[in-house]
Amino acid sequence: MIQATDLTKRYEDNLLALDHLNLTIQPNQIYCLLGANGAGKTTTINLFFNFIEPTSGTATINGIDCAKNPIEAKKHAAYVSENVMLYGNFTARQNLDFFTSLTGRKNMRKEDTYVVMREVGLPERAFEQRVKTFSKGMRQKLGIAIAILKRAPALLLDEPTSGLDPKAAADFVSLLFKLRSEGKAILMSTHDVFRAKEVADIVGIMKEGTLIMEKTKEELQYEDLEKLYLKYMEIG
Amino acid sequence: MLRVLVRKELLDNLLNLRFITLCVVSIVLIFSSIVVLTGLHNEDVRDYHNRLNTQDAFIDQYGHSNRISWMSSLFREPSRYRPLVLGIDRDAAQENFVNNPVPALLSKLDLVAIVSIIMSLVAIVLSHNSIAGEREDGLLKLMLSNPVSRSTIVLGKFIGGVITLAIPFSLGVLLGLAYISIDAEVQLQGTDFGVFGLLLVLSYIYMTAFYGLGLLFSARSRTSSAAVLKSLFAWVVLVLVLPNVSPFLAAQMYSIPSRAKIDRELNKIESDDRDEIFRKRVQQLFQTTFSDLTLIRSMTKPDLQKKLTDDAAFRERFALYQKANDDLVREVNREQRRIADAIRESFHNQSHRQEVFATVLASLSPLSNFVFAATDAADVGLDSDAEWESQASAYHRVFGDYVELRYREEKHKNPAFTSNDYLDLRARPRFQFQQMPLSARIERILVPAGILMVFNLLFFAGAFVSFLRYDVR
Amino acid sequence: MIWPIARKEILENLLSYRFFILTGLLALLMVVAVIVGYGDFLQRLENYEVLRPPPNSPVIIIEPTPTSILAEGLEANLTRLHEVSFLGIQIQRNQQSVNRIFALFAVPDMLFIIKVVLALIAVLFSFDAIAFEKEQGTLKLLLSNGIRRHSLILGKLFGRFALVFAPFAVLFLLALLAISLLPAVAVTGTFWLKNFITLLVACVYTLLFTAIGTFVSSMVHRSSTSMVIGLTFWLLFVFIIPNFGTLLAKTLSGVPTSDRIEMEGRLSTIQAIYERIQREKESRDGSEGRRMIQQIRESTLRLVELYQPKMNSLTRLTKSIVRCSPSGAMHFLITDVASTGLYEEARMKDAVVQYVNRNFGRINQLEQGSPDTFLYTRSSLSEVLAETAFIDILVVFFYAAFFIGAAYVRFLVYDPR
Repeated sequence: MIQATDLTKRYEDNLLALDHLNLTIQPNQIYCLLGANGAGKTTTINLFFNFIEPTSGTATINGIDCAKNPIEAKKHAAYVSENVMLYGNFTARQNLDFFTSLTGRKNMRKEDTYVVMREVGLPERAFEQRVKTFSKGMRQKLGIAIAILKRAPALLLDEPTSGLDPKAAADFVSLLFKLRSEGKAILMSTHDVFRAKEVADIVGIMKEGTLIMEKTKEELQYEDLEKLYLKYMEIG
Repeated sequence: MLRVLVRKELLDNLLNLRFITLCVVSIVLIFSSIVVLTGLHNEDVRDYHNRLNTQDAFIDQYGHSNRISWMSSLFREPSRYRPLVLGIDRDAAQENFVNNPVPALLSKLDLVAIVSIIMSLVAIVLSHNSIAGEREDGLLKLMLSNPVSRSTIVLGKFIGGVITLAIPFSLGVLLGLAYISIDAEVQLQGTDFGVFGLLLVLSYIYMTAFYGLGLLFSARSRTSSAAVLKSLFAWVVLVLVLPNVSPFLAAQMYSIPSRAKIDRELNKIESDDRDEIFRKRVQQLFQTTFSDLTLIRSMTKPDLQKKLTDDAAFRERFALYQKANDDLVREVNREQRRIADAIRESFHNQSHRQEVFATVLASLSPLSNFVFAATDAADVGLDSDAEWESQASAYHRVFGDYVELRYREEKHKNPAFTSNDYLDLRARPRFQFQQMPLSARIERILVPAGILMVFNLLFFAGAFVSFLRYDVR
Repeated sequence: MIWPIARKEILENLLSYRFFILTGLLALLMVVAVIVGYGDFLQRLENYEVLRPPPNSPVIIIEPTPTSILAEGLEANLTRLHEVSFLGIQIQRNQQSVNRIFALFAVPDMLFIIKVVLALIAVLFSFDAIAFEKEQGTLKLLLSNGIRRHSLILGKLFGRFALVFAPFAVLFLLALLAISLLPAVAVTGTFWLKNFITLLVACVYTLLFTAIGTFVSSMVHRSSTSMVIGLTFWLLFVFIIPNFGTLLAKTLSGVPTSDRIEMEGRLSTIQAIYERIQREKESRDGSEGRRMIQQIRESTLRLVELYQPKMNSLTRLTKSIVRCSPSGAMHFLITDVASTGLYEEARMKDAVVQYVNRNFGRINQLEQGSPDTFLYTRSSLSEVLAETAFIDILVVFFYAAFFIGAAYVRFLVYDPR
């Protein structure tokens, strides 16, 4: 569903942000990308949405090349970013309405949006409240609701749990499992080693633009991911 | 999809406290400016009619060919669009000793000033963060993660923003127009609504250009605070600097002699020089053709009279001399007038060229083009001023001819009639200023309006292209 | 403690893009202002040389002053040629520029730069003084470092002020120097003194608008909101109050237009002429001309006497309304100090009327002798300050103190959550 083949990105300032990245994520799979700041996690996700053009290699979603046919590819993928402010003057529902109509869906019923907002754990009173009064966690939940409502088979999340309190993070994990069970392919970048171990079917560790380790859940079962991560970070 | 984006943009602005404040301020300002200017306009119109009637009654009652020019000066009827467009403000011209000096010190706030300065600033304030600001908030990425093309997004922003800008402006103007039409002293006709429509359209084009400018700088900045500085800088240059600087700088670069100097020169040519040349020529005449008559120059008047009655041959010769002298007067006058006319002509050409140069330089700014177009649409601009002056001087000629004709008629009837006697001028031709028809005015404003459109397209195209390449991260 | 913060503000902005662009703009405008102001001054000087009457003739024209290069004000009005005859005081129109295009735009002189551009630059340099630090969270960091609040706010205020005013002052002095070196300008001590006062006023004025920006910045949480409110203040003070105030004053005062007065004067004049003609038909004793002139004199004098107080009250009302804005007060102040303002205009008109009153008989051969030569010296600085400018100075200082105080108090009670 989500696939990168020799994906490379070199910026104008000659910084090699991503070096021949290969990864594949199937439906019903959660892939966690671990890595320090500037390792290339966000660059990878940016390439899938064609926010930037790849230098070489391809990124495909559902078999559609994200650089050649971005509009078509974006129909099949939803995005959650690290810290989205959303439209502060809009209510939660208005934000949801707007972003859903961008996917091409029309005539959303109020109940549909309410269902999704309940699903992500937004309190009932917040549904018709202006987003600028929201805390960071509430905004993040709304961002996830937007992604869910898109009903795309692929889900790419850029550090979705940063800034969430433990309760909200736990809720988020169960939500991810639910989405996986619905058949979604999920790519998630994170700093959080524990969370990665908890949710991931596959864990990839990135360093300076290259994927230096990729292990499945089974392979990791008897290993301490944190030690592994720190070890990889230390090696030259 | 475009509709969704436009609606979002509209809603986002309408829910914004900043926008609501600007909205209220601009509506109140536009409306109150129109109300106050309408009141002043009514007073001006009353003054004008009062003056016209006094003058007419005076000529009917006291017409004397001698001093008639004193009471036959023409006044321009205050334009009916003055509540919206003051144009070249006659109050600022300061032609009389008793004039109020304040208008020469501080300009007045009419709709043209409100649109050109205030609404353009509002446009910049509204548009400056619509791209850079949304990037900062991560909204661009979120939007672009959906199957929407960038061109649709930027088009949606542009259209939505322009509509939001038009709402308070149109409300203010419509309220003002409603006030004008209720006000009994200004009766509106069909063409008036055409002119109002034209003014509205020109204002929209102008404001849109500045919205595009804000969008352009927003699409060329990473943060909204950088965007606002850049677009405000551009605004200062386009609104405060270029229009005010360029005509004055043009005048310095293409300087023409002062009118006072020219007047003095002309006076010299047509009187002092003329007399000098004439004296020389007469001298010549005595030295050549009429050398036999040299003695008359030293004769006293009675002696000359006596000789003229006594001497028949001398009389004949003297008549010949007088004819030659008259011819000489005419000739010298003609020559000097030709020289003076050449100077007048060249001065006129120079000042015309200066004006063209100044206008061209001023056209570098959207504000000047808007002012030119709006004043021309309301027929209170530069062209209409020139037109009025040419019609007025044409009428002065016609009127002068008529007075002279009437005078000769009376003189014919009664040889004792003098220029100080009452002359019945009631059947005189009356002055009626032929305003340019609306279609001709539209034709005239095509150039400035076209340049405005070019600015518009340029800014929008710039914003469009910049957004296509914009790094949304 | 104020100085380190002010220094940090200055250093932080000194190398910024904003500083270079705005200073460049200021420099460019100054050059243009000097070129245009000097050009206009030369033109007026040329006119004066051409039109200057021989002594003892009933023609009035005064010499242009070099201070008008910096603040043109009503200089064009003041240096007009007045011709006095039995018909009254006539203004010659051939000194005005032939081209009407200038009537559509404002003169870009030093006054314009200070009043409009410098104020805007001050707002642009101060709107983010506090709000930006709030957004970035650095305000809490600063306050946690034991910096006293009052030194923080004053340091920021004066740092930003210095950043705007220092380049302006340098450029202004350079412009003055350039003007003093120009051939047609005879520089005197008063010229320097007057311009020094202008610079001082510009200093307070810049401080005022910096304070407005800082005040607004401490009121709100986002720098973009602070910018919008700051710009609204600028618009209100610089354009809306002064330019709308003139309209409002005219509406409120109900003074008849000068056109009407002019027309009435003309009407009574020509009636007198015709009455003379009528009388001459009946009897001719040589006194008819005299009687006519007397009649014209009385009627026009009556008109001016009726009208002038109304006009003065209109001017007073306009001044009071426009003074609600510090920019308006500053406009009056700088033009008055430069001897090109409303005060000078009224004074000059008064002098003309008095001259006519004194010499009317001699000008119109009703009395023996030739008329005086019109002598006029512009008002001295102390006179202007005592008569009118002190109010404007008070207004500008009051606004400056008010906004500095408001910014200070607001920041002291600010709750940095």
